[in-house]
Amino acid sequence: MSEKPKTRKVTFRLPNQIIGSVELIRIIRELEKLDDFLYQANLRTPGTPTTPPKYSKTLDELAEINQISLLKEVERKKLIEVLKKLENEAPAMHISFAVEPSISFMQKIVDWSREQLHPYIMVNVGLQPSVVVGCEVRTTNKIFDMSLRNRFKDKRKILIEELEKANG
Amino acid sequence: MQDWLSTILIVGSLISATLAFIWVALRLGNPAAAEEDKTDSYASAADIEVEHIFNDEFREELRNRGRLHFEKIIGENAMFLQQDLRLTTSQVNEYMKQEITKTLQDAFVKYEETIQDAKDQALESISKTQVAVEQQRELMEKQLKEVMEQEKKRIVERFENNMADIVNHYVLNAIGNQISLDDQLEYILAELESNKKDMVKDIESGA
Repeated sequence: MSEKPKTRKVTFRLPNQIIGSVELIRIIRELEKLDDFLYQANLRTPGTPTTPPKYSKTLDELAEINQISLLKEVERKKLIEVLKKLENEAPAMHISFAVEPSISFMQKIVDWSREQLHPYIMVNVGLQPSVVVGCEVRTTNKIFDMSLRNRFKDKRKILIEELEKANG
Repeated sequence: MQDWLSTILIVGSLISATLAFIWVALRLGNPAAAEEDKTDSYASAADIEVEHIFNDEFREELRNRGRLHFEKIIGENAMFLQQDLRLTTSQVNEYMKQEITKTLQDAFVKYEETIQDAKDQALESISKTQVAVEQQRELMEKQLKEVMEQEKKRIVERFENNMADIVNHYVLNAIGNQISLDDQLEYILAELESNKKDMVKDIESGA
């Protein structure tokens, strides 16, 4: 179905749980909280009870696939730096559906996008009830109407021909 | 007074008798005068004879003859006049008949010409009206056809333009609730795949 993507040297990988900018910002915030906690933990008096912040499975996945130890300050700082850079520079596309898509569905879309379009692309999701079937994708400069309605428009000639045949 | 008158009459008579006697004496004493008197006497005799010949009876006879002749002439002339009158009457009748016939014929000819002119004008007017009506009908037919074509074209265009929405609406109402996004995944990925090149190009140029 899909062409073989161009060989691109990927040193950093994003898990498909990070779908768009929202998830990326959330991960950065989460990571910064963890960083603050670990920094304060180093400063506190030994033996003082502390409650470590809970981090999400996404952050765990991110660290795991990139073989990063979140306990190491250098790697953690590096990860924050990379994520912030991605927040500012990663390409983004906006995809709209008629209804709210499921996480698993979006992960498949993200997998395809990062495999075929760009490894760090951020896929922001929106709602567009008029789409009904299919989706509408908006990149930096273009809008791609991939709805069934647009497909009907493209194939309108076939329908007209069929109607003309039916009318004799 | 009476005496005087009687005296004057007597004197006058005497004078007259004297004068007459003198005149006779003178006449008898002159031969030329006698010859002249003889001629005069012949003339007088002729006159007397004339009077004797053309007496009243003869004159009456002549008058009667003249009357008869006159009556005859009058009768003949009356007959001629009657014949002429009849002839004239018949000629006048014939003339009047001819004149009336001619006048009537002229009138009829004029009437026919007038009728013909009126008929021609009416026919021309009807013909013009028919032509105008025909032209108007053709124009209206043409306009009607144009309007119908435009309306048809407009309806078809509208239908074609909205056909996608109509079909989309129909599909949505028919099976819209039956299609989840997961069911659409294959279609969406296929659409993404078909637009991949443009998307990559736009992302790389805009990134």
